[in-house]
Amino acid sequence: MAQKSKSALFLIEMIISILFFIISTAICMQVFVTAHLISKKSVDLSTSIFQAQTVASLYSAGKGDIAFLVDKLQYNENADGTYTSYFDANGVFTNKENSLYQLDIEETDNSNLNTISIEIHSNDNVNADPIYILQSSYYLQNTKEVIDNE
Amino acid sequence: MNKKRKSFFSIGTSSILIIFTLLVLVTFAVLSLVSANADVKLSQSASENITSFYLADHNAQISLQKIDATLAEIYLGSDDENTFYQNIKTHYNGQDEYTLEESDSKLYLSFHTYVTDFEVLNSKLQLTFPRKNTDGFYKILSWNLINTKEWALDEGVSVIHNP
Repeated sequence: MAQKSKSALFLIEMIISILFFIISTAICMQVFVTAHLISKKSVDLSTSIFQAQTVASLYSAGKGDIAFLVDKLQYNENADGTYTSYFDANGVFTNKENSLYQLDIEETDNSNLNTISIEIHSNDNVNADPIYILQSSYYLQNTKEVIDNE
Repeated sequence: MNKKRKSFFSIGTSSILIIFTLLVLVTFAVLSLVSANADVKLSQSASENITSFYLADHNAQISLQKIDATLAEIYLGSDDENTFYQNIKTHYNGQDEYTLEESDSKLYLSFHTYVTDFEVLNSKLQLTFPRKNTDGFYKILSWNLINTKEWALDEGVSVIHNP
């Protein structure tokens, strides 16, 4: 009789333990998934910042000439005059199929003050808000020839 | 003779095992969440700093555009090199946002652009009279970040008293 009661007690304990384990594991898994998503957001942002800075530095190095950027980073010119390029998780510029991110550039020219707006999107959802936006400017100074001819 | 053999999994052992496993699982889950949060905060801080720098750079480029336009006006209103430099001195002396210096008969114009509460973008130009057609009115000598926060010496706290 005592042996039977002991087995029942053990069984009840096992059932309660397993239930408790399942519930706790489910909560822990949710925490792991949340951590993974936050980590992915962080990686996306870091990679995007790095690429945006690269483009901004190249734009300054090319003295605000968009043709210099297009030549260096294999950009495709869109019908609306903007430029698009793609890069992978390592920040290497590649074709659309192998890429994870899309980088769009729009140039505005305000009397020698050339400005580009760099927008980086995730390829998973190009229509979502951009991961990172950066504006870079370069002022092209006047020369004697231009001023004399004005 | 009739020895009772005790099972390894007696009552309570499974509970202890599960509690231990869950403790490990919870610890790793919390650690991964804290680490991911720290990473995203660092990335956001970096993004804010870089955005502030490029915004300051953009504002400095606008200042450069204004300076270039002013120098062009001064150039058009000057008969020779000496008058050009004299007119620059007259124009920029007393202006708070610009610092005009003269050294070895060369003129230097500096200005600061706000980046963050403790950083400014320092720009220094050498003003030049254009002789050739391709010459401009200035050369950029420096374009760098300066930390404006005062450096405080950390004297520490004496934990162990040495007589």
